[in-house]
Amino acid sequence: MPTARLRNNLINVASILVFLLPHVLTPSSSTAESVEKNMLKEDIKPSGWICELCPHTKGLHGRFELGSAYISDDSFKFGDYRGLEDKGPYAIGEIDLRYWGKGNSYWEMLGSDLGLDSRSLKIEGGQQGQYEVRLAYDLLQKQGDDSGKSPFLGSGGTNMTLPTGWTRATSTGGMSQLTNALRPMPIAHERENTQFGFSYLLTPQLKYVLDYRRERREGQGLHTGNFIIFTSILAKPIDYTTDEIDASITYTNKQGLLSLEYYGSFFDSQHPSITWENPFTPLTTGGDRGRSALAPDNQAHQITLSGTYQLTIQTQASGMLSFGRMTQDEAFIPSTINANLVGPLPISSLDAKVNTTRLHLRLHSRPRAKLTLNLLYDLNNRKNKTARKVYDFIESDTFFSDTRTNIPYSFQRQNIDLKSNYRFGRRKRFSGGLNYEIYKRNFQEVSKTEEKTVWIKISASGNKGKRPVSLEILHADRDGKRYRGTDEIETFQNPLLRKFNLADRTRDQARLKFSLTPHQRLNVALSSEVNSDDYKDSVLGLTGSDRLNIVIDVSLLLFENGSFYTLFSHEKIKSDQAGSQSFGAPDWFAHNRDMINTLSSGFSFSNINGLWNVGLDFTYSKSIGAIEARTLGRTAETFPELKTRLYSARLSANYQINPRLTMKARYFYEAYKTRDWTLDGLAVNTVSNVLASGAESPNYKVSVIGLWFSYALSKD
Amino acid sequence: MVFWPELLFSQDALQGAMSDAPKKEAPPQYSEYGSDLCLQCHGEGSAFPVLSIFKTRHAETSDARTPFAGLECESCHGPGALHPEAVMTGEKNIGIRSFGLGARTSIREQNQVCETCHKSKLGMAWHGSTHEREDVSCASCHRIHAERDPVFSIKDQPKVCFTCHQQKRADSFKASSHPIRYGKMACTACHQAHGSNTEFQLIRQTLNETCYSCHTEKRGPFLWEHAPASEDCTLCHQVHGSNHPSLLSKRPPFLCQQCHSRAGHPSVSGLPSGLPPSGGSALLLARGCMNCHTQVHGSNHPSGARLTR
Repeated sequence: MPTARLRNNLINVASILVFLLPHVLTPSSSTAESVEKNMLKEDIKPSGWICELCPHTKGLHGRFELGSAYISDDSFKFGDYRGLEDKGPYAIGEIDLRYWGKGNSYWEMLGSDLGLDSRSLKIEGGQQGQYEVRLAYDLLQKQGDDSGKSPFLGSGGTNMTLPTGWTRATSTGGMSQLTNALRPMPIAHERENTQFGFSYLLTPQLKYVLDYRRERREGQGLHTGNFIIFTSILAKPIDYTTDEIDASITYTNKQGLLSLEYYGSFFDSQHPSITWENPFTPLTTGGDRGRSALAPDNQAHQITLSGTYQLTIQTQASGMLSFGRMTQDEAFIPSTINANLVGPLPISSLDAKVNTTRLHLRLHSRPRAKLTLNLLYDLNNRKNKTARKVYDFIESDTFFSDTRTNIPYSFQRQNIDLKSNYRFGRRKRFSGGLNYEIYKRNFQEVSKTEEKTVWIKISASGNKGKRPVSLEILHADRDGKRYRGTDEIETFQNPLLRKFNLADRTRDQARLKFSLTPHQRLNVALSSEVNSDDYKDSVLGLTGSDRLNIVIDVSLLLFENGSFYTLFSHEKIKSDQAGSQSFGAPDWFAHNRDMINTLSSGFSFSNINGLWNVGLDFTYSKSIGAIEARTLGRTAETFPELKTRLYSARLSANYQINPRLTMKARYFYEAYKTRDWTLDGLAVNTVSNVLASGAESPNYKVSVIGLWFSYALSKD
Repeated sequence: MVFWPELLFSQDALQGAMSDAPKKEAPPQYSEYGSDLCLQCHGEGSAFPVLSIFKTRHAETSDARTPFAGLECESCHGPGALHPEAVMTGEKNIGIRSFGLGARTSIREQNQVCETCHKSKLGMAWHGSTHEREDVSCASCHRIHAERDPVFSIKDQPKVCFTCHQQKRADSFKASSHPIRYGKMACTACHQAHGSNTEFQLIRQTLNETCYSCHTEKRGPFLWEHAPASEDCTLCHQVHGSNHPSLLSKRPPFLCQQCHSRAGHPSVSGLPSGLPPSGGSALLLARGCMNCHTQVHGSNHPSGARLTR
């Protein structure tokens, strides 16, 4: 029985630890002492040391780069995160400057991708050892899709209307104006980050840090507008501002540190809701328009006191106590936009409050030179204090359904964790640990789960600090109190279902790392991880999942200035689930399998004739997602494979024209092919009750060629 | 540059892995002339050039905290009076403390040197953290002599981390991923490499709070919460990369049906016959369950109990 085995293991390991515990507070000589002696007590510069040969850098140093690149093709997806979606020329601009002034004053400027929509710039300066001021700016493009279309006027705005003369129908096939009314519906947004930071060292021990960030997000995101069984894919506006503040005071001395921190986050959404016209024939009077809430403004505040103290030279205690609060009080929009329906609100805004508490206590000790113990207790408490009220439930602006009471979820998670490390022989190590977790939740099917985890690891290192072999095995058992679904939690839920995060589970995991150096220039490493989760009592829902990954890494130092590498990784993720469409015993089963292979290889040569650096890198990644579904009494049916293939190659060459000027040339090619049955072959009117966008799965082939010059302000 | 996504390998790490190790702990005797002695052999073009450290903050002499305001090279490398002779006579004991992968000095001693000054950087969670327990030395990730330490660069940092975390590198190439391979996000955007009080060494107090740093609109608290979303984002999302859109661990409806087997449409089996050209199932195509239940992270609409508004 695995549980009995686990219990015995726990008892055995606990016995060993109890035996060892009295040694924790017994001092023993250590390397730390010798370092302390060598470093701290003799840190006085002899008068004869003048550092005559030291080339202390003063003045302006660094480099800037300027040039151009050309993109071969338009591709919205290629521009994702890069900001390079359009064919044509782009400017290349990089800057890396540093100024060392008199005394300890300095400033730095780092700029990257300055000619692109993914540019970033950072400026820092101050008096080293006294204060520092930081400014940063960063732009990020998230390109979702540009192939989708929509008949709505004002798509991506807060009020979406249908073209004049639109004829509503009971299915997409009957929407006679649809094809002519379609217009582009790009899904993309931009993140613009601005940061300011200030650090001040009042004394060598006392440091103040303040960081402020503002992020603006603008663009369009995916949303859907639903009326009972009819729905339309929409673009909603993204117009968000988030302000974040991190402020801390930290006191440090040789015995430890003490820190008081404040974190504040303030989210502001410009638009509380969107409205859209129903392109389908309304099911009830007044059901010709819908309104959906968007993300409400919210805030989070947190105060944290943390500290660490060196009890003895072998033993350190640390702790952290944190209190937080998340709030949200956005004014409610009405229960419905349908003027024929009434849904009075019990309150005008939610006044939501969630209090969070974290407590973390840790004792770390090295009672013997070869033994390390780490004991911790952790508490994570989320208490939702939002008032429960009864709300009229208007089903998708169509009819009054019933009343609903909101469910403010709370949970508490506690962990006790013990880890130990024992070194034996010259380069061998045995590690082990125990973890006990108690998870309590309200308004969920299981009020309390307990999980016990035990793991052991053995590792042996080669010479020169390399660790060629390690094997780790983990076993965990999660058991919960009686699984009890109620209508309050979810109506008409099949009683045989077990939600996987609450279900009883047995987890087995193994990790292996192995490396070989058959020649001093060749290194071969293999690592693998296997994980198996068994939801032993789950009849419906997720019943089991397995994950395997293997990584093989080969690196070869060809010459003193040339190297070659190859890395291959294989990952397989499998899971099984069961469902019941007859609302009884399982009558359908699905097997999901994702398989991802990634191969990267390349070589580089540096300092050829003292002038050239060249390199070639190649990556091929192939993902396959396979789903097999079977209903009771029938043979299994297989979905088309979800396929993604990425080919990426980069050729680079740097030529040093003179000590200050370097020419850089790059050629980059990337091809991306995908097959996705959720999109492929799906026109706007393929599904009778879903007005889709007709978006296609992305495919592209793009080449980039670039040439630029790097100029260094100093020769060295 | 974003044009030239380095394929997330650190050639330096490879070079470092292949280099021969310096040797043994130093006897407690400092050199007669300090760095002036060291630099006679360790200039540019030497086997172990070190001059770039003079472009770093460690070399600022007017800051009393730095090595060069103190015992210069020997602040970190320890007393080195016997080092020149040991090297010239080819002894294995090179007479100074050395750093990095392959160094003869124990990792614990190496780290102790750095911790002496960088206690506040390490914070309270270094001791007992995963990296500390796994004998990761500071110099495994940090390049002390380099003008720019790659681990502080958003673009270069992942290469350093992927030297050991190779599966995460493969994850970054998956169909859906955070912008790590594009050089727009560093591992430390979420993780605190020196250890933290959170699982997975995260930078905020909980996993969800870490995600909310960038995805604030999903924080709520909402009138109608979706319990797993409020509890743990990774119940539905694979944060390092996924074969499915939005980092989801599975395709809807199968993802949702792991937890929902309500009477009616939520428990209907998705079958390939629901795909074009033979079919057109609203449960399978486009956004699957989210075709209607679009507010999966929670809704603040008074009638949003089913997360459709």
